[in-house]
Amino acid sequence: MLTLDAVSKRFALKAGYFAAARRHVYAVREVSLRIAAGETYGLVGESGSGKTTTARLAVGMYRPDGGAITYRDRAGDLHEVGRSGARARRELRTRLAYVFQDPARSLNPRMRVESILLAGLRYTANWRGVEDGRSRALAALESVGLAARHLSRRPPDFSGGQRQRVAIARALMVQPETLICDEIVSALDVSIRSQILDLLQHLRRELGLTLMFISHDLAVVTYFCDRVGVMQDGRLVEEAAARELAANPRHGYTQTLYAAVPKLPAPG
Amino acid sequence: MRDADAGPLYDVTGLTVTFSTERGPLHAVRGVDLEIDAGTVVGLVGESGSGKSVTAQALLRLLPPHALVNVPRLLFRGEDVVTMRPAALQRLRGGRVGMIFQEPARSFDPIYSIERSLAETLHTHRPELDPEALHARSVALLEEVGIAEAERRLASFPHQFSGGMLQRVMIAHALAADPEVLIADEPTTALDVTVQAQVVDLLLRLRAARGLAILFISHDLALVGQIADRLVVMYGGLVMEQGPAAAVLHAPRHPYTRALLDAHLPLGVHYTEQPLHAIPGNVPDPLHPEPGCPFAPRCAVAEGRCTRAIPPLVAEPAHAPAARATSSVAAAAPHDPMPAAVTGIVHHRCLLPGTKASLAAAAAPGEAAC
Amino acid sequence: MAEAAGRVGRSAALWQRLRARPVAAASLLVLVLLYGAMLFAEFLAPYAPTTTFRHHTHQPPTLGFHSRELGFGPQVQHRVLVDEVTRRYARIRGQHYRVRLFARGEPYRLWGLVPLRVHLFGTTAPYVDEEGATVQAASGADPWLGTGQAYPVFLLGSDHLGRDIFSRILYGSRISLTIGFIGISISLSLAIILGGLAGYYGGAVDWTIMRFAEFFILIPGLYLILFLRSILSYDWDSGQSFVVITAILSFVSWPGTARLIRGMVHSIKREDFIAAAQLQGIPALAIIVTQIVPQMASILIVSVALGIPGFILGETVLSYLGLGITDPAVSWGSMLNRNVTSLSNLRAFPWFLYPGVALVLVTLAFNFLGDLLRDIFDPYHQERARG
Ligand SMILES: Nc1ncnc2c1ncn2[C@@H]1O[C@H](COP(=O)(O)OP(=O)(O)O)[C@@H](O)[C@H]1O
Ligand code: SF4
Ligand SMILES: [Mg+2]
Repeated sequence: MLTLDAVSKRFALKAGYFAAARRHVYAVREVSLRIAAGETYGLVGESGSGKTTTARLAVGMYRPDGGAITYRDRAGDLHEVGRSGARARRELRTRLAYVFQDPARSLNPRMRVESILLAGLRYTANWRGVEDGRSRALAALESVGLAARHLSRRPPDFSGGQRQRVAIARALMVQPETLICDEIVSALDVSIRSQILDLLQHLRRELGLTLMFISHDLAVVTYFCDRVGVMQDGRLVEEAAARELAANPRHGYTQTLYAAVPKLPAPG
Repeated sequence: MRDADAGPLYDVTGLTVTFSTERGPLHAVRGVDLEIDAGTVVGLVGESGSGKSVTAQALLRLLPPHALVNVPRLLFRGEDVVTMRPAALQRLRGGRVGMIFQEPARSFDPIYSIERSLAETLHTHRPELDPEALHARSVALLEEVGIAEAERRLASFPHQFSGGMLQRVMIAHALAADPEVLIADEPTTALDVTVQAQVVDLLLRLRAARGLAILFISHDLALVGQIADRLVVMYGGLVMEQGPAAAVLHAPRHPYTRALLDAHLPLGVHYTEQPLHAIPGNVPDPLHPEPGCPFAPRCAVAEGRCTRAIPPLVAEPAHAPAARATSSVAAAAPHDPMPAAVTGIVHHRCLLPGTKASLAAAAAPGEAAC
Repeated sequence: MAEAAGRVGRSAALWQRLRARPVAAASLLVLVLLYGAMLFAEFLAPYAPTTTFRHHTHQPPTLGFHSRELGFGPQVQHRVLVDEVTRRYARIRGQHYRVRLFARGEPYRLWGLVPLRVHLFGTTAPYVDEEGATVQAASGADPWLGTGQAYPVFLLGSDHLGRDIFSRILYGSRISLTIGFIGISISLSLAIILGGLAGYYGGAVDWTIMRFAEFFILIPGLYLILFLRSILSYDWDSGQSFVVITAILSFVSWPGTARLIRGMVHSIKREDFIAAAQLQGIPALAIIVTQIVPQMASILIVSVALGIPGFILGETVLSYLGLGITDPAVSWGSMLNRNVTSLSNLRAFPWFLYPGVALVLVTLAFNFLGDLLRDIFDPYHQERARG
């Protein structure tokens, strides 16, 4: 279970050397949310609304400037996310994994898929040697619908959808409990998007994953998630069950998002 | 020019583009027919890699030298673009035909202010304008694309604009020379849905105000459906289906179009209620095109012969642009919601089950043509 | 599609530019030939670097191509010493020896393995001293049997001990041409690690490393080399000298490259795939070496090509000053050291400068090639330098 309690994060603005005081911009302001084990939680909002920052805070990539983030794993142990201890981070890494928005950027274009998959595993407690690593890489690759022959290829040899599969496989290498997916279908074609959503849904059931799923597309979030939070300017402005939100958006901003979704003209 | 006014702005037949690469010839476009009429919005839809952008670049001969372009007919207002002289070509590019691209940020030089880059564009196409006229024109253009406080924003630099704003500025650039056609290559793909909706609105307004023809390229059928009058569906470098937007969206004749429509996720559906209709598999590898229909490996209704040869396109007589909306089809296919509008070109062998029988009866000449 | 196009573009561009730039193409050819010659020095050189022809010191190039007796064809004319002080020789009319291709000569082991006797060229006539007496009775057709020697042919003259300068240049290239590669790999490793860490961590680490680097950049390299070498002991054999020289040169040359690498790491660091690697807990040095450095491969190739001449010249300077390679080992620098001791010396025996010619040739070749590579891999070099 992932819990964010009044979490804030600000970034320093690049100011001139002679500026009197450093100016800051708040990317996330006092966001509180709770993702239960096995739940799929969606975050929706425009770019710059703080979704990515929230996700990166949740996975410990950024340290919060205020509030607390905790994670209770399946064994019942409580972890404080964002703590600096190497051990704490190491433990957390096998529980929470993060998938980046654009696979073209998050996969090193010069590395073979095999190295990409194994690179991180080496430094976790799950490392049992190269042989074991390889067989795990293969298993991970197969679980996302790719095959052994893809191990020796490099990201530029793949289509966008396949690349995102590789990125998901990389996240699965450590057998995480929770997967944080930041706009992972936004860079993909509509047809491929459905494939990836299908795959995630399948993996979720198969592995009992908890998911944090971020998108700027209300249709995708309300389809895919159990609960959805709407972000605007770093704040969580509305939170509701996905079906509820799709049927009855309350907040004005949610309604704007709602209206912007391209709809096929109704038949007839 | 005289008879060109009656004909389409762009008239393309049999466009093929092959890139010579280290790994062999890459068949990007394998025979595309396209017509853009004055004042209409043509939507070019297909997954990435299906050849949309290459097609668009070929229209302006913007392809790099290692692209082998073969096109028996490529006319702009009746003028042959293939044999066009450099000066005329220059007038075409960014002049009579404007272009906007997916990532506006990349199209701007970060060290030029908006005013400077806009003035430069204006100057190349209208050298007679003096600095004051250039400034006035720049302000007018920014206002036209819906940028508030245009006067002040002219002094800004590209990085001071959001993606949506920058896309507006790019549209202003494209409009600078009063083009007849605007080619918009995935103009909203990098933008948020909310901003996307605004940009689409802007394009529609411009079309109405200026009588602009637009070639709108996107992978999102629903989005294109909102803006286009005609739809051209591409896959594997080939046109799969084309016709009036409403017809293609409501009564797709081609399994690929149908699959794209099914893959669309309507708002309000939930995973607990309805599975997704993903299109299985991947887009074909343009380095090794299959002999038959490129969609065959993913097609739900593929037959043995689909993999043998590329099925010829069939213009159904009842749907040909000249003989639009005959009622015979409506009578033959009463279950079809909008049969009257079904026009265009499809592979006849792909006609979806259900419509197949009725159309075979109604459109026997098409059958014979194959 | 764009990517495939890019690949075509690059290899095609290489050939196009080579054709458009004959100097760079010639440089490439020179380097290929020199390194090839280095590999086959035993075969190409008629004599071992230490073989001395006692009665033929200070001889100018002796290869001739025509005489009345032998007609046309490569040959040497016998010379006798006429002035002991100026080491002037006179040619003896009528005494010519044919120079043959693939002549049997001094035995050697190719790459220390294959025992062979055939050299690319040489004479098979018996050795003759300054007065014209055959020094050692030729035993049959093979003057090299026992301790015998054949009559020498000096393509580029002989030195003060009667050693063949051509042969010594070939053998000397083994040190002079490899020191560049070994040195650049050491200096590049230092540059990658230090520059990489500086760019990767930024902040205090960056500040410390870069001030350290600037210290080395500010001190003129030559003085630093001399200083370092002089505080180290003198009496080393050539193997040790080689190692020490390489180490010193590497130590002096890393900062420039480190600064370049630091800048690039700093920008590549912002890529998502680096964030992904960090998130996975991969240690910084592993990220730098396996993920960041390969991204700058092309720039590094260029800096290698432009960096090698520095090492070759550095070795030469040290050896010339007697602080580097010494007899019996041979490098181009040590050849200059031994022979070019005064201007009058040089005026009398200009062929002693041939090692220097080889040096200039290699240095220029690497520079031209480096320029070409830079234009191909790093076309914005000039803008960056300006901005
Ligand atoms: N590393 C950073 N440095 C400075 N500002 C940042 C940084 N990351 C995000 N921001 C700012 O924080 C705000 C929220 O951004 P982000 O979390 O990326 O939102 P989203 O995921 O919705 O795009 C934006 O204004 C953005 O410019
Ligand atoms: S029915 Fe045949 S020809 Fe038509 S789309 Fe399917 S595979 Fe292609
Ligand atoms: Mg984001």
